[in-house]
Amino acid sequence: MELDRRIFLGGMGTLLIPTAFLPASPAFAVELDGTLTIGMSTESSSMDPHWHIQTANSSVSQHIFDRIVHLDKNQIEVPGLAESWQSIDSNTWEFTLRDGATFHNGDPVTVEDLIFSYERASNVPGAIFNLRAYLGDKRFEKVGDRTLRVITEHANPIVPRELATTAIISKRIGETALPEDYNSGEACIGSGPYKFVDYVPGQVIELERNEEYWGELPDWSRVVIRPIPTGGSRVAALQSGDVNVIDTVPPSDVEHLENDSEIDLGRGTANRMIFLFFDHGRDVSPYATAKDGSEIPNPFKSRLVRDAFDLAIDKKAIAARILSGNGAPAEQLVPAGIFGHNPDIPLRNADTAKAKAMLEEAGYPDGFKVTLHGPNDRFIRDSSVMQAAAQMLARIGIDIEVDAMPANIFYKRASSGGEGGVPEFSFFLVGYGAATGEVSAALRNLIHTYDASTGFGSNNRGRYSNPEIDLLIEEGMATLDDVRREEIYKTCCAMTVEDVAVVPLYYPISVWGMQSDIAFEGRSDERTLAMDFNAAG
Amino acid sequence: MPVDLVDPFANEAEETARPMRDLIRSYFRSPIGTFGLVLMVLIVLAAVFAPFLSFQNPYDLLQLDILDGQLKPGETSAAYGYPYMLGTDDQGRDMFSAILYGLRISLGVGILSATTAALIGATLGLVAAYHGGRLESIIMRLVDFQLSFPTILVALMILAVMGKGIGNVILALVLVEWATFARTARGVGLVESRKDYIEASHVLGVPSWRILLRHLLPNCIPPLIVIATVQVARAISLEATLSFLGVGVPITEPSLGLLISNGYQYMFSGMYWMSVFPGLALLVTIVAINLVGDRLRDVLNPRKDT
Repeated sequence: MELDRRIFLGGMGTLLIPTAFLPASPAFAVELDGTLTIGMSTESSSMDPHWHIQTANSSVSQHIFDRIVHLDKNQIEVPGLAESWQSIDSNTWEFTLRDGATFHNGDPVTVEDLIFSYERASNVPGAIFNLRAYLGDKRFEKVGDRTLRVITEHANPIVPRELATTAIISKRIGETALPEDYNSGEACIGSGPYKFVDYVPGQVIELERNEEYWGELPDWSRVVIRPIPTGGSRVAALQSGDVNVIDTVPPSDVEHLENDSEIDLGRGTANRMIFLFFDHGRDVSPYATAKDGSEIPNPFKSRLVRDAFDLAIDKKAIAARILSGNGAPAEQLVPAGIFGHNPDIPLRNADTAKAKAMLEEAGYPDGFKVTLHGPNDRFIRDSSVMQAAAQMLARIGIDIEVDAMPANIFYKRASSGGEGGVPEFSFFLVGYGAATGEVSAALRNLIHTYDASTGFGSNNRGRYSNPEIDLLIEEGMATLDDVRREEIYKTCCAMTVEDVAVVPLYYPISVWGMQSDIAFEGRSDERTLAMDFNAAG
Repeated sequence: MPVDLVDPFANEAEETARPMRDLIRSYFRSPIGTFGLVLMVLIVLAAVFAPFLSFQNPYDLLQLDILDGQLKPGETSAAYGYPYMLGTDDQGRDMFSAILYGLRISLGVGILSATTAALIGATLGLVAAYHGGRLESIIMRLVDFQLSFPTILVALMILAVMGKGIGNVILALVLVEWATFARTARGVGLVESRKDYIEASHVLGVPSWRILLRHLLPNCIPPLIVIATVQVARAISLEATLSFLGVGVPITEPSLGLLISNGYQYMFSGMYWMSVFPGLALLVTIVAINLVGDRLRDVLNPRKDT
């Protein structure tokens, strides 16, 4: 017992000493052609560019590997390994490769390398997420030394965007290489602006500039990427000069970093939207009950109820108070700048009294009881956002419980935790990112009626279904004419909002922090690329 | 079997009344022990009377307003007009009220789980000590099995399977704590059951349950009290850890651990009050209980001259 107490008191004492251990290295100013050190919130899970497609991995792989087409900071297609491309007919695209692009080992980039990359990306052994979703409907043909032809099963207007997801590797090396060979660096040979130097999982990725790069040479001759998952430590590392750039500045630090003359912030509205989803599918929803806990018909089948919920939640207050600048209030599926965004949809002001009246009109004068489920470690301040929403719904008479859980548990239950493998929750917080830079991804995966055989509605965990919108989405996806397609998507967005399929909450804003002698304009795909940062002056 | 023999130790309880007074007197001979006890009583009173001491029910969503969120200690509520003595968290929850309500959860969970675990553990331990043989092996192997797992891991697994909620937290704590009591009870029980008075009871033909309850148990109680006190403190910190990790109590009804976890995100932006005050409350509570436990150990230990 004696020892127990000593250990206990000792432990308490240790806690009181330094809560934050700040590395004591001097602050080095960055210089042109010098080293850029980046502190990243999420670690890349592999150096194999086809193994796991998530933001952190794509950020790293884009330094080393080119794409056939790149997406710029606003998600616009710009030439990559292809200098030009065009659609020949509704099912065929042709890409012309640039001359002079070479891999880091000196081999020229050929059409065979591209075709090989697309085949491998769909079939990497053990891959967490393979790229079949973007590549499955395409056949690739070599029609000349520098020309690649892509034939799709159905008319597909976004072939260049879909191909931009896939890193191009060397066929000669890639044929025998396994993901481990990329991690060791042996096979990690691309045609991008940086070459692989070193990779120690959990600690560091080191890159050096590819002086033979076909495009504009970046400002930094060396790039060091360090994973620093804890927000506070990341900020501390930046302020102490340990790193030059960090991604994902925590909301609570935005204000005091703004006042720091040695630190600049860069922002980009992410192509993602965080929203509350209803159970539209079931006639009785397990977590929506009368206030005494007895079963009631699913209230979310009523558009009025959904509208009341949307009107009750003050999105502006959530964006301002909880996210403190790391989110913009949302009114539809995607933020402005994404193809298909409808500028005519207004952001409504919250109105508790009116929402209460609507609830009464819908037949719930005394409200009902519902549990709001969501992840607690996936989005910025997710559980705080849920509590704030709960506060606002309580004011219109809803008896609301909040259940926040770790994301890996949440998503499993949200997708298939219910009876018979259906989505479990009645009312839940999720997010969706339009990875291709078009609203079509959100429409197709989120809003379209769920259909396991076609893959439509794969993220439609609320089982929303509206045949009219379905038809329009399918029409849009087969329309090659950009103007016409945009019109169709805008109509889809307006109909989705009109029907209150979801309650849009906010568009996350990615905030980067950097030393004030570095210039950066922000990106909308959340990627952190050394090529985007410039030495000022 | 003799029918009903006079139990020669039946009047033991009366004889312990005097030593009890001596014990209390010797407890207060230590200033630190006294300080711990006073502190603990104050904390318990604050927790019990939380609804009367706080301005706000921090668990009632209707009384919260996010426009009052992130206020510094001492700032006044725009909506209600009273000052937030210890500031507010990001939801506009008065930290002072939240800490008092959080203490209720922490103490409630700690005391309930420790006493339940003590009942189960002591019973099993004494039965093992008294009965011996195969039953003892089974119980003690179960204890070894339980103690060989890290507590926090077991608790995490239980909560992951059963889901959140205060009831489940208590259940998880009981399941990880009973083994400590069982082991201690068996140790003491073994020593006591070899003593002459137990042998004598046997010879007199006193029924087993009566020997267990009236003779063995009372003599094993002092060490169990000490363990129980320390286990209450341990349960409180374990509950705080579980809530800090987000598997304990629901987020709309934060306990101290969850308050610390919520406030932790704001630490680096200078909003220290969201996690420091609940942290201090937790620390003071655990220290007070440990001081009391420590003093009890000294007082109740017959070998140590106090």
